[in-house]
Amino acid sequence: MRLKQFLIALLLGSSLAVGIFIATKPAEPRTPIAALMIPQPDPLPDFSLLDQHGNPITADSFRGQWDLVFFGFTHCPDICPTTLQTLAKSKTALIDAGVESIPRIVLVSVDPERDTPEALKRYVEYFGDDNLGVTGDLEEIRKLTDGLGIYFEKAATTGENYNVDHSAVVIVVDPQGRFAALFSAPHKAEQYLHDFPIIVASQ
Amino acid sequence: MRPHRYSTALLIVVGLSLFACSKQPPLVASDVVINEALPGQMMTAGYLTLRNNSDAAIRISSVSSPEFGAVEMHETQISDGIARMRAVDELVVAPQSSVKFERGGLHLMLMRPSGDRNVSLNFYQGDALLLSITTPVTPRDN
Repeated sequence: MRLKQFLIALLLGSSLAVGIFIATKPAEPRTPIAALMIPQPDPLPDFSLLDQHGNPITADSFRGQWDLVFFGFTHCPDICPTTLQTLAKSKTALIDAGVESIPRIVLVSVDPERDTPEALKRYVEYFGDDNLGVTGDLEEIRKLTDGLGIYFEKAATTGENYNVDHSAVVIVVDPQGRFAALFSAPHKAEQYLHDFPIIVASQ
Repeated sequence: MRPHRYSTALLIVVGLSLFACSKQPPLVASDVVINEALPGQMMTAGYLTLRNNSDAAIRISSVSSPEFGAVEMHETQISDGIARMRAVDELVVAPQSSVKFERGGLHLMLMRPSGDRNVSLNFYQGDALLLSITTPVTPRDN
């Protein structure tokens, strides 16, 4: 009888010890698998552009929510729709995973000559009603892209169209309107699902 | 994205002079995805795999389609984080090899779509028709 009581006490004591160990063990720091986090996030530069409805967009428009910002153009048939599709899938995956902070998807046009607000509206909203399209004067777009180190340049005409070479990164802007992290191409939804909550938690 | 959705049933292979004396068609397409054009857009992209079953290189110099105003072979190249799209004037499919047209890489640039739900693509070497395929347009999934 005493042996049985001893064994029960030993079992309970061991379970308690293991429980305390697990509860007090510091969590392994999670690190991004793809995103490059900016150690000291910089505020977005000043610029004055338009959204797809023709409303003004400034650096202040990027305060108050997380944003995933891609730079592209609507006449780009391959990497731009592929990236926007990946971002849309990433957003859905984050929602499905119960992540609290869900980012807005933003396309900043690097081809304002063809990307009017109306053209941008049809394009960005195809990938999600809440998406933001940004266009406007080329000089104002340059203020934003130069401040973020984003490259774009009109390329040689091929056939009946011209192309625009552009950085393929996605910039993460935090709710303070700061450049907090970036993802490089090729973009994968699973990378955003893994890394975005880590970026949010780091703030 | 459903790259394999129409991979088996859609291909109608005609042409190519070597066809008659070979058990397999020399040039075969599979995994064909012709994306529907986005709203308001006058262009879209097409992806597929071309397989050369012959012992000689096959050179593709142009692609046409009655359902598009123009078709060009393009390649997206990403280097140093910059995406650049360039026209490919001639595509060589090596003997007993495959070439994949895929997202973020080699692709068909399809301009001025007619809006038809089924489209044909004709691959040429010069004036010689190498391959003709017919496939439904793939709706984009979000």
